[in-house]
Amino acid sequence: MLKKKSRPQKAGPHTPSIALVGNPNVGKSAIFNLLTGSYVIVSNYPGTTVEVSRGTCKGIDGRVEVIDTPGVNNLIPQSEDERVARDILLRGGGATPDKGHRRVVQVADAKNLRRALFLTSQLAEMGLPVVLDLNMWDECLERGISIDTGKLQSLLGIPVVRTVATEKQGIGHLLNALPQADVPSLKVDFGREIEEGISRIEPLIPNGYPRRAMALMLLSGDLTVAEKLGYSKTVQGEVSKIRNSIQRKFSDPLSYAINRIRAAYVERLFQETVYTAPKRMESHPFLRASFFFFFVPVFAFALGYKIMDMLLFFFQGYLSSAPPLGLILKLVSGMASCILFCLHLYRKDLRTKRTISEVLGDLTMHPVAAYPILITALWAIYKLVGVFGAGVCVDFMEKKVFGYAGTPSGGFDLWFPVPFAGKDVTLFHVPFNGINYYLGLLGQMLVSPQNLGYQLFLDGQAGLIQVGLTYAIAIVFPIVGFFFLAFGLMEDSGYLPRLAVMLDKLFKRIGLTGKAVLPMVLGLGCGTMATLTTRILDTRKERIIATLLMALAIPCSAQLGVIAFVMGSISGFYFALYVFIIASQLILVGFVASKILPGGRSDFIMEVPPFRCPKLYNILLKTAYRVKWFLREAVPLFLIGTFALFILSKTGALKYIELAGRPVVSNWLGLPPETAEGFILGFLRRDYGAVSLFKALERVHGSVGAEPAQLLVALVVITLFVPCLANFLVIIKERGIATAALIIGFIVPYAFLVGGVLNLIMKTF
Amino acid sequence: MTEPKIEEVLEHIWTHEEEFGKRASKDMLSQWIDPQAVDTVLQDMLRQKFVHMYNSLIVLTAMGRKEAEQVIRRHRLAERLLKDILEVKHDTMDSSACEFEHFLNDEVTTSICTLLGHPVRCPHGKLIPPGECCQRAKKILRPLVLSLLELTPGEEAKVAYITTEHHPRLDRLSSMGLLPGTVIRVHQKQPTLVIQMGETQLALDEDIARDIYVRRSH
Ligand SMILES: Nc1nc2c(ncn2[C@@H]2O[C@H](COP(=O)(O)OP(=O)(O)OP(=O)(O)O)[C@@H](O)[C@H]2O)c(=O)[nH]1
Ligand SMILES: [Mg+2]
Ligand SMILES: [Zn+2]
Ligand SMILES: [Zn+2]
Ligand SMILES: [Zn+2]
Repeated sequence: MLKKKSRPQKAGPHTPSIALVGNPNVGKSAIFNLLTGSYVIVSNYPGTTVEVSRGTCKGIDGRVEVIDTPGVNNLIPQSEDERVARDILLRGGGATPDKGHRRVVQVADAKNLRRALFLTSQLAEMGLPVVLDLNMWDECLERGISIDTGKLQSLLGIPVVRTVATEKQGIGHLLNALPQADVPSLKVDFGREIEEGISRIEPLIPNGYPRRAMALMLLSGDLTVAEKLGYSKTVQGEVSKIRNSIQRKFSDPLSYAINRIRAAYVERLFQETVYTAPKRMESHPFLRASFFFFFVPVFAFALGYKIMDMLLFFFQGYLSSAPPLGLILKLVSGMASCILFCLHLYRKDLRTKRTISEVLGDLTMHPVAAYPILITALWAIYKLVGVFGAGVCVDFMEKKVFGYAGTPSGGFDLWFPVPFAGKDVTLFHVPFNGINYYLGLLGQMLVSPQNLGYQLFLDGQAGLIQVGLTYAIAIVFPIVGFFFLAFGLMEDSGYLPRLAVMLDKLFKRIGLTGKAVLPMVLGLGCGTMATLTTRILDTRKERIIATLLMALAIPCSAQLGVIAFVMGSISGFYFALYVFIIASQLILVGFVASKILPGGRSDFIMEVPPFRCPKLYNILLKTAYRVKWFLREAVPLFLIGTFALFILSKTGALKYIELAGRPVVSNWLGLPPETAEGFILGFLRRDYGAVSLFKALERVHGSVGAEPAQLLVALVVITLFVPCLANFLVIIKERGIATAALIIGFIVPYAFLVGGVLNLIMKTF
Repeated sequence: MTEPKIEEVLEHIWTHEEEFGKRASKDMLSQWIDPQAVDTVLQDMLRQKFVHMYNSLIVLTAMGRKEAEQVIRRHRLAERLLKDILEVKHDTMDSSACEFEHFLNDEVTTSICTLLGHPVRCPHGKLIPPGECCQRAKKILRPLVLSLLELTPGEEAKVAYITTEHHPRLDRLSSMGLLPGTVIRVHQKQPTLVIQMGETQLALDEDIARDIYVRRSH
């Protein structure tokens, strides 16, 4: 396939490295994972990777360093992450490729070759040796697009390989092609005026930089380059004089003119190598039939039925109450939704031969259908994470797997339900009494239960193992695990960017754009990770608002899971009220912040990737990676918190703290003083804070639900209350200490303010 | 026809009002035309009832305003013609347009306007005063060039030009492949505008889409 060029093998003193560069969401990270065998996050939306990652790979000429970069549309950068990618390329390359030891693998979305070639021509100007990797070859075939790779190869003068990263296809070819990497033989002629400008600026570029590329960046008005080159004021003045004199000859801004000329140049290459057949691949007829005639009607019916069910749930208080009227309402709404969906789809989509994923992709951002689908998705997540994860699994982990020191749990049964028969079959009984029980037995062989050392680990209220470790693992594993599983499904199918399309108008009200949906939803998983992701937002103002709102009103999954389970099982009404209060605070604070903070809103221009069938393997891998990350962050803090609590309770200081907190906690919020403990733990972890609030209320009232109004106030405060410690550290790192202090200085009093007002309102009604 | 000098002055007064929202004053005239000619030109304008004086401010009469609008219209249409059809890209565009505006008669202006599809804005993003032809076209037939926002879902069109004062926006759009000549299809308009171009689907603000002008493909 590849023309063999004989090039002298150079064994440089440095380890050679290859940088993976390309447009957003083309599969760079997927290729990186395949090359290096390590894992970085792969998701179906542009802007997954915001930081550079490095790994090593065994190439055919020895070990090479592989660098994954954020996606770029233009190497004359327009945003922070594009700048990161550009800088990676500038550091390694040089005007003389033989001196530089960095090669580039340009990963391209084969079905979007125009946009890839735009970058290739820029890489050529940077003088970098490139291998062009046409990834997503499968989707290219599916859409009837054929690319003459042989011709492309000879036009560009570089190796061109085809890969399908998700199927691990073509990686061998890619590795084999690496040594043949060469500078693309492309030279865009920008016309007399711009070329003259380039030749006037080139002498000002210091050695070691690609002259033509740098000159074009300067002409395009990229100020960061001037800084990077360490230009003095006079040189900068010189450059801008040249720039202005050229600009005067164009009615368009120079950067736009440059882009247009480049695009026209690329268009010729594209026309010569790409043929699009009108025929597209269709989904399998059987799949199609079952999708349109079984799945859609059934799902639409369930949708209508469920939404009515939820409405009834919120208004009637309890799940189980279904009088005949309720049943009729539900059936009617189910039928209505079924008819609507089918009418919509059968009118057009059934006849035009569209694939199932295309239809799903459209439905999930359809002006009407998208909202019931969203509600159902949220409901499914609530069931999975809130009820099954936070309820059943946490309970099982806490009571059966960990158990209690001193009391045997009595073991558990392994069983499975028999469908339709309404009964369970027990396989056998597991006589396991819980880890803590056995540890307790072990401990009691050495010391008495009154011994301080024993209590440090196994005390029922503040033992490091009995409380700290047990909660951390029993809570984090099921809740966070299931949440990230659901989240991974949304990410990989391409649902998240569609959510951004749906919510853009609402987010504009709070000074953000639809793009901020990604960090905000990720914030439900873990605020720490999400704060890093705010980098995809364009302006400082947006990043600050997103960080603030996340710290204030987005509970993390562990916390939300615990809350959803307890509240949901007590009263649907109170849970709805809780969600409403938190959401209204989010919007209110966002709205005010968007008015107060200086700066404008940025443009919303976002690529919507195609809807794809998620790969289970990738989701599981991603979930495992994130849970591991989460545990590493949560466990130490749970232990530290428990240790602090232990010291406080053993020295008796807790009493004084409760006393000191009484004016706020008891008088203002109307809560029992014991809950002060929960707020202290909330400083470390919000989820831990929520759990110990429950425990405190349970101890005082006998059951959590005895005083739903108190519970509501407590949970609203702990949700709005400070972000957890790790999140706070990331806020400092990303936004700076001053902003972080301001954010905290606002959040803490505000949380108590809202809680107090809520308490007053609840009392009067 | 009106004298070129007077047309030139009327054009300047009109753009001054458009740009700063303020009346022009007499001492500005000398920056715009040969200072020696100021007095005679002003006398001529007053005589033809294009302007009247209010202290030292020059106020356009209804007739003068109409005359000025015609000049501006010819100037800006000429710019569009030079840019879109003749692809003149130098600073000569402005000066050539300034020459055009003085010798285009009404009939030629109308046919240029029709040829260009009754454009709304000049290449600098300024509004082109509509002529009778534009009003008629709006009623009778669908305009050839219109804002992306006016397309209905499912319609296909080719980008004709993008007028925006906002340069980063132009850079972003053009590096994603949205340029004059690109064929786009409106995928949906609610809750947010989504367009399809080639294999790329793009969600866009309405503010941005408003400045993208497209030509319907039939
Ligand atoms: N069908 C198909 N999908 C692919 C292929 N390669 C990657 N994908 C999918 O494309 C999506 C994007 O992959 P990533 O590796 O995250 O892309 P990226 O280039 O790193 O994206 P950014 O970091 O956002 O710039 C994921 O959902 C992958 O599963 C391929 O060859 N074929
Ligand atoms: Mg990536
Ligand atoms: Zn003029
Ligand atoms: Zn103009
Ligand atoms: Zn007209």
